[in-house]
Amino acid sequence: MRTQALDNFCAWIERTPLSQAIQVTSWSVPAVQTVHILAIAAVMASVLMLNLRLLGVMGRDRPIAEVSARFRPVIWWTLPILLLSGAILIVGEPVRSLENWVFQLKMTLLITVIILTLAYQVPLKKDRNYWDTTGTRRGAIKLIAIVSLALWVGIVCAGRWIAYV
Amino acid sequence: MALDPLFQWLYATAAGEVIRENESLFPWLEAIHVLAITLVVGSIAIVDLRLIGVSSLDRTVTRLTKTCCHSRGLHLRWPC
Repeated sequence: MRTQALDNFCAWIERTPLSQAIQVTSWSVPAVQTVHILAIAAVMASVLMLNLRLLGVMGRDRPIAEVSARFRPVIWWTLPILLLSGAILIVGEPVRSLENWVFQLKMTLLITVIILTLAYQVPLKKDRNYWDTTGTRRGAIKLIAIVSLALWVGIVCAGRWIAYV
Repeated sequence: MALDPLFQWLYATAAGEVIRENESLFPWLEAIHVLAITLVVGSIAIVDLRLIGVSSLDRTVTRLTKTCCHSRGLHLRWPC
């Protein structure tokens, strides 16, 4: 997707003092990228531990609610760090990301996985046995886990690909 | 530089050439590299935070290490 409005928006960002500062400070982008990747590591490890439990592959000696309570805060507290560091990278080079179809795909995958995560976390918060009560729910949560893992892997891959298209 | 011959040899290898010539191989390798980093750093962080005494205090170190490292044949990182 590339529109005149998006072009204008990118051009406006590039003229802001913050963007100018990032453009002339050679170490800012790699420094922020390092923070971004460390935050990705925190989210991905938490997502993996949680989803492998949802799949029933790992940590079956603990209920889903307990594993979720351990890793949910890491996911929700790290996402703002990812959004902020990602935003700084965008402000530095808006055209490179905002007008890139892989970046747009990455954001679509991100929004999808956030909605999916909320969709299973909300009932779990109300009823800690929610995903264990019926066979349908046990199957559904496994499917959710597989889709969620695939989406996160897709997000990381898309992140790498932004630089190459 | 003393290592230049090694780099030149690496550059000339068949693998080097395939990766260089292929349009999408490099970004895919990079994606796998970053995914692997997240697994290693993340699983080490979970165990190390327990060792420091910050989180997962309701679980023993032995149990947590087992979950993070070699639960049911899943080798997330090693050596453990």
